[in-house]
Amino acid sequence: MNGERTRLACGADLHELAGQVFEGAAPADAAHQRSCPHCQAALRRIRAVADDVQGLATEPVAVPPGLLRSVISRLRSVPALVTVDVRTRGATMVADDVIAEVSKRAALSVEDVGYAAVVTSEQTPTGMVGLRVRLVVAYGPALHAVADGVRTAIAQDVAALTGATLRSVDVTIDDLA
Amino acid sequence: MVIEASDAVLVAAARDGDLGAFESLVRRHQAAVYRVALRMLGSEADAEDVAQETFVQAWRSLARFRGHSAFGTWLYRIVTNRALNTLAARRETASLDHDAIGALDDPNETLERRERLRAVTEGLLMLASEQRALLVLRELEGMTYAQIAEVLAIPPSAVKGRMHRARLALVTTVGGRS
Repeated sequence: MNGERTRLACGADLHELAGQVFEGAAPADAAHQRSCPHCQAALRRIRAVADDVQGLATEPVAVPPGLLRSVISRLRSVPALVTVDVRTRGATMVADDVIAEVSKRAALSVEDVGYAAVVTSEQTPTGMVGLRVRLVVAYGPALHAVADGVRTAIAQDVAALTGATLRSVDVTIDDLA
Repeated sequence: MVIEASDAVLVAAARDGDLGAFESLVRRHQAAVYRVALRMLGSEADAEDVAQETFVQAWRSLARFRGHSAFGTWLYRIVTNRALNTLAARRETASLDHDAIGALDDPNETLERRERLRAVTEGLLMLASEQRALLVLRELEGMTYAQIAEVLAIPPSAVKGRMHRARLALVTTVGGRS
């Protein structure tokens, strides 16, 4: 069975035999194959390799434990800072990631919201923040009511926990669950 | 209420710049990406590098991902190309990292089975790069011919013939060594 020759002495095509084993294709000539020692020997060898390939396919591969952390740390840039409070003794700054996280948790606290992703879309020098919110919502309730509930929850929590003032909260409902 | 966001939802959020959404995508797809890299390269260290670069490239290219194919297929394309580039850059044949065989410390695994898996892994690593990619994607990852054509950027009509040749090459390589 060298690399150049693809036909056995009996004339059977090795490509077809390999396809038969790997793909479960029907034999081109079943009667010939049953009685042909060349075909039987070739099929045995192909089956043995195919079985081992199948064994390799089901072999568990452990993902390196640090892969996820390495990827995310490479992608995490220095967070933008939002000025939320300026007083005589100094300014208080909050990273926009923090505002996004507070908003995300607020959105998830609203009934019927199953998934929320939040990013800051704009920040003004006066400490106002725009947010873009994406949601997956349970099928059933009026979507505008859910979106309003999310806006209210976010506005309350962001104001209470960070002191930032929201300029806009754009809500997109991406999917229903 | 526990809801698993679909890839499409997470991709849309990630394109907005939500790193948390992208982190969920990495968590979901890292096993497949790492597996393909490992089977293509035969080295855990190289596979981890390629997997990491794959996700960094995916993040940076998200704006160009139009969703014509599944996100997972798109990742397969990136990781396969990166693995092929790594192979092309190697001057010598890859030295087999024995840990690439899998859970070799499993006491229930028979020595014979380990040796057979080692032989087929070594056989794969001796094939030409494209043949290796074809077999990894089809036989180990279970992709369709149409998906493989997309991943390798070759005409769908060419996949079947090249797959036949790749399988025969593997049978010849493994058969000749055992």
